[in-house]
Amino acid sequence: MGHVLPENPYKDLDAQIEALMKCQPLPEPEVKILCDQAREILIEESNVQPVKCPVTVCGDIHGQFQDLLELFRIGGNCPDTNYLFMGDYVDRGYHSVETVSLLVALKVRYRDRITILRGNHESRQITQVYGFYDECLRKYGNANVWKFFTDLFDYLPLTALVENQIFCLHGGLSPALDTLDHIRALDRVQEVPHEGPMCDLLWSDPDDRCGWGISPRGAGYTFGQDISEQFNHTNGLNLVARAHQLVMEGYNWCHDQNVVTIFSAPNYCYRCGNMAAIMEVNETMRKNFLQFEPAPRRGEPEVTRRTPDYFL
Amino acid sequence: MADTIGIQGPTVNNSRELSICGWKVTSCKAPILKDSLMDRCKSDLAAPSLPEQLFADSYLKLVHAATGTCLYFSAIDGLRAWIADTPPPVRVGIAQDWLSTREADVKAHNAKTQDYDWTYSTPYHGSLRTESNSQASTSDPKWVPSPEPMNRAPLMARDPILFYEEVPLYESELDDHGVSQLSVKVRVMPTCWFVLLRFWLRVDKVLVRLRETRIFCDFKAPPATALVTREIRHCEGTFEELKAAGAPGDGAAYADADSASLALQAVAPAGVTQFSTEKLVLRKQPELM
Repeated sequence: MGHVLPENPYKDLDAQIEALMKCQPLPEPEVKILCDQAREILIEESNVQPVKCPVTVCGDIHGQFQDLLELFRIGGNCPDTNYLFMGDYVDRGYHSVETVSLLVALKVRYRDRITILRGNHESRQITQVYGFYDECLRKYGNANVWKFFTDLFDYLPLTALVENQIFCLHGGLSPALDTLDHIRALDRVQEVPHEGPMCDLLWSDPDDRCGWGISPRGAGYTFGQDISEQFNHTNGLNLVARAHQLVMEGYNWCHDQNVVTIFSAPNYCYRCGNMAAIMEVNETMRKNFLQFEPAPRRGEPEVTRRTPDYFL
Repeated sequence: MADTIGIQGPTVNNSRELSICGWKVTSCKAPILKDSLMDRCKSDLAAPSLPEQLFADSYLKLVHAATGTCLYFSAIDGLRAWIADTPPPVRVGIAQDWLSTREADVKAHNAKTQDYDWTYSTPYHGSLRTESNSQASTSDPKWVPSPEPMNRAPLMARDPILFYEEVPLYESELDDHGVSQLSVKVRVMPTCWFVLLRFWLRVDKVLVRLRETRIFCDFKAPPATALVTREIRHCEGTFEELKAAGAPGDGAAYADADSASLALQAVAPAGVTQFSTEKLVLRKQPELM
């Protein structure tokens, strides 16, 4: 933490944050500097980054920038409110560039006030299929910004631990990682591999079947209530908070309140009609869920009402 | 059961209808199913899993007033057809890599591979029922094979579109391994209506599957010909097969159902696994004759 920042850093950063809040992407050279600064901060963070309460825990954003602003209106501005984001900032929505730029800028500006974890979309492979890569090409005319960000994603912490009680991560548990120390021992600075337990943390899902399951897709674990209970017990936790899956009310308890799923993109993909939610954890570790609906839209295509076409 | 789920569904349903030439066309678009209803739907259908975007309260319905014949399209009926079907399993491209480094863990923790069609590939071609006020309805309407191709000429005319809707029925992101989608579109012109029901699947780096059902009603068709005709066309191929047939071999060309349809049409008959044309003979109920 004891870094000497470049001279007068906040003026530039504050101006960048102000532009980003208006949904204006940063110029390419500024993105490079921002990513370099963020890397220096993230490299110091643990695979299980300790976080203090009070903190507001958030799920997938997926480039829905207007809804991220709505989230800050509902939850309070950073740094007045401390935030913990559990990944999936990019892909699918229209404003992945602005969304991830803003979160990274806030991280650089208020490193102790905001924690940003890695989601399975914070990866070179996935962003090439689901939108972020194409958006960078469209907005910058080349792939440099995509490269700056995806190189930075390798440094994002995998999980966070709120007051040694609430374990937060994007996907879920792994049979190869029984304890938090196992997770601390992972070498995380790499593209999300298909092989090994690091991938499980970003991809696995809770399931109503007991024990460990393997998805019929042939890749990806599911874990039952017995697994969650055991994991929480072994590690002295009372909750696993995770994101990764769309839930209609924005949050969804499962496994007898051992696991909660939080999803923070309302009206996902601009047509699902779901609520978004964030989880406030106060000074006494009490949890409160705030639900919210999509922000009024300015200048985004209306997906649900397409113009008639002479389809055949 | 679609109806019982719908009762407690969201209240913001967006329903529209149009009556024309003896037909009533109704579309309803609603948000995805609530989490609690999702659990109930899962157990009602005895489904091992459900697509995460399940528009169970959405539907498209076309009712022929004189006979009560009702063409109906819904997610629940689509999923029933999915459950009844048992296609060969599909595995994602990384399955081998994924499992090879986990064999010891899988064994040690007795992890069981779930076995069901996670692609939600449905052979659904729409539902057909009779909405009758009378108890004494005649035999149920049914589709019969027809050698005549669908007459597309009236569809080429740039007549005004009086009613248009695209209704997503279900969609899954397949946990970021591609897309699986069932949706239906309708357009009604002064002389005809036309429906396109599509199941569309892309498993990244593995395969593309497109099942299209086109249903056409020509209001001006002479009485001797069928009033409603249907064309079913199933296409699929692995990316390797598609490339060998001259189609694009990477996912970017198959971003959505429209672009996949174009790419697959360009290499047909390669990839076509089913093609049939049928007609629906509408019988009037006796008391209305």
